[in-house]
Amino acid sequence: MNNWVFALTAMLVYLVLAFVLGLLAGRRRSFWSVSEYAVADRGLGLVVIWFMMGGTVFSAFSFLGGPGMAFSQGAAAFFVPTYVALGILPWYLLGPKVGRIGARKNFFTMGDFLGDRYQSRSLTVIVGVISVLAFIQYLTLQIKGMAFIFNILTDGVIPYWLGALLAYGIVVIYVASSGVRGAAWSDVFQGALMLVVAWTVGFYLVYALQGGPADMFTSISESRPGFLTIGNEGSTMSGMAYTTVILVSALGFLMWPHLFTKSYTTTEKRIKLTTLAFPLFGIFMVPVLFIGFSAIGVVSPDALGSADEILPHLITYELGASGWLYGLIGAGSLAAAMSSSDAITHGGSVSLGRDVLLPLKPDMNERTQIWIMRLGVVAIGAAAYWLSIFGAAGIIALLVGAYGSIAQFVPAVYGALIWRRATKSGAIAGLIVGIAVNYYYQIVADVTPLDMNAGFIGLLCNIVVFVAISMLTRPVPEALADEYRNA
Amino acid sequence: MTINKEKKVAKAYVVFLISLFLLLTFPVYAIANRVFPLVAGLPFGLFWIVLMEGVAFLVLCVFYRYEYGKGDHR
Repeated sequence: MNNWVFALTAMLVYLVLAFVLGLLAGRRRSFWSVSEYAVADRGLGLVVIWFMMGGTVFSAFSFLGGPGMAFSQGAAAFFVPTYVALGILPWYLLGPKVGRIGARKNFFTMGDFLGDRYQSRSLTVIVGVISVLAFIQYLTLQIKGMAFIFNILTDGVIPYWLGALLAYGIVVIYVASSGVRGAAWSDVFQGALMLVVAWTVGFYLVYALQGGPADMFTSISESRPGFLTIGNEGSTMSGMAYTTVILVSALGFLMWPHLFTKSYTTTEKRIKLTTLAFPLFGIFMVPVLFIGFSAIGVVSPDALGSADEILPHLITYELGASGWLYGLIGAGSLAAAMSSSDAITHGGSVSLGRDVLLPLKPDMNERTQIWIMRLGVVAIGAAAYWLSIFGAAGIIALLVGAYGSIAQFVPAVYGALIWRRATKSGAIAGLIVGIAVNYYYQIVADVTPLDMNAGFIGLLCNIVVFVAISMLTRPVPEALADEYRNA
Repeated sequence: MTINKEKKVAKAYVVFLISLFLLLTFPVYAIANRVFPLVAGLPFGLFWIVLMEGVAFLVLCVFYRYEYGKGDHR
């Protein structure tokens, strides 16, 4: 049997399982409840929430971007396991607070939360619009990943458009029908599969190509001095860039609305138990980097169109013989891309319905809202699919900017919880300045001051403006500020 | 859990978070920013990250036990 037949079979079996599980998850639940669709009636169990948070972290990035970064940039890739572990840790304190307020006030989104604390419907809409744009960008990356994997592992038998349609179409259907439960349950399956595959492949490659991790790192260090450290001669990243990218990614992590709103889906105790497991997820990422390191000295960088292609390249040219490995990698990498896509598609549909459209027409009934959210899944899905297959340069710059802007929610969110004096004008002005600065340094300018991360500079400006304008404007009613401060 | 205990936990937790951040970023990370000695096959800089994450996991377990360990199951 040809390798691509193995791969195709494994991927199809996997897709069927994920599909069935996703659909079953929503059975016997109220189809018409916004609370069920958005936050599973605040009742998700521990294992589910654990995999759901974890699954969204291990995205297509784990199999394509992560190894690519290790291969092309060496120690700079260490920032991945670091920020994954650090990013979730504030949730131990933040999650229970947000969850308590949300349960009391019946919130489903980050827009609900900020709009109420700052008494501003426009803030809800701004947050909603940025979130939806950022989600679409995130999805586009995942869909491209899925299509790429399908295409390359089946030797081009499954074209780009079809692979993306198959994998992502399934996600759209189970998310639209089963809501957050569909996303969550399929993540348990996908997460487990993906971890097994990442570790198997990571270690297999290191031993097959380099004779073990110690030999591998020794020879890399000999042939490329400085490559495995930060900020030295031969390193690819400065200490400042490394530190600020960790800071901004870790702080911004929980600001992704689909993760933030998981505070509403479960209990305080489970939030804390989930947080507890995350440093281990950081460790789980290490073998993913092994995939990229194992190719150094084996694959010439010129052989690749982009560093992201390193894993598929290794499979095609270095491991030609083993069909089972082909299939395993196919299923595992699809799982990684899909487990992120489902949560993001779901999050996007809730943001679109609740934060963007509801404030424009506040008298909508629950049934209309639920229809908007379910149709939103299809709309966002179609937009992301279209963009990933056909692209559109102008829109892509907009989306990349939105993607990088998520961390700019940090001052407004933390301000709501710890600073009574924080005001609506401060939050909006800070957000706008932060996003503008981020756009400028991310897309327009070539270099940043002191080699700091663009998002980090945006965040600094954001905080200054947020504090200054808040001090100058009228505070929200004291009782409201206290409720958030003391939640 | 009383408000007081919760405040105490929050304060200790913030200290833990900031220390962890500092240990994993520059300038403190500079002490681990080298390849040798390899530990368990990993460059020292990467081993350091794994080590800190292991420690963070244990510290979190202690926090959790302190809050929920003694029959306070909510």
